[in-house]
Amino acid sequence: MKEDLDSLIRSADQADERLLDSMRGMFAAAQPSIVYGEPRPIGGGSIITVSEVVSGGGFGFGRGIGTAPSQMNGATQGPDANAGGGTGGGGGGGSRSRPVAVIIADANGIRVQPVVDVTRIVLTALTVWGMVAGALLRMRRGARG
Amino acid sequence: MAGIRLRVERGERRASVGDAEMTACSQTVVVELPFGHLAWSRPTSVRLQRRGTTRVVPIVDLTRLAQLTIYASAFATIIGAVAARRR
Repeated sequence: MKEDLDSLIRSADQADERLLDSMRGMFAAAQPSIVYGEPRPIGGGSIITVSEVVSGGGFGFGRGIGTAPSQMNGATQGPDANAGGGTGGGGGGGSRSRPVAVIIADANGIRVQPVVDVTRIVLTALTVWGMVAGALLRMRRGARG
Repeated sequence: MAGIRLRVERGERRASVGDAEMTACSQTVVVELPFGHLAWSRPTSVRLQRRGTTRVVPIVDLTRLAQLTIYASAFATIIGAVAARRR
């Protein structure tokens, strides 16, 4: 029984290490290729997209081993009779990419054209300044009261 | 089990665009957690070599810059209001 439990723990540890290694491989991501795209020919020149990439992931494991004494026909069974164990795990991850600029190469030369996400800026301004307005109103009411 | 580790890595990618040689530089911040990873890769600059001349063009994230300006101005407004109230 003890050997079974040892082998269960050993195999679970090995699975942990394997998953940890594969996760490290996935996110050992100092790769400029994910930031800079392949040059794409357009018209008489070519463009290269430049993006910011954020990726992350995590996982977790759990295992349990236990015994349950039981009685059958008045006789107590050994403590190992109802022993059991199990392991489980799960994980998840994701990545997000946001365009930052475009490198344009044509007959006029090579230039970097920034990409401005107006929607994102407006949403940030509305959210932040909404919170500031709320805080200022609350402060003013507090000063009157 | 590994602890929390933070490392910054730099990468380069070379490409030929027309008669110019381009070296694109990027920076990656990797946060290693005991059971997970977080990697943030961003472009830093582009080095252009053409006809013997080298030019370095920094890549500015205007969207991020605008967001930071909004955050900073909001923070300054709140601080200013609190300071004015205490006087």
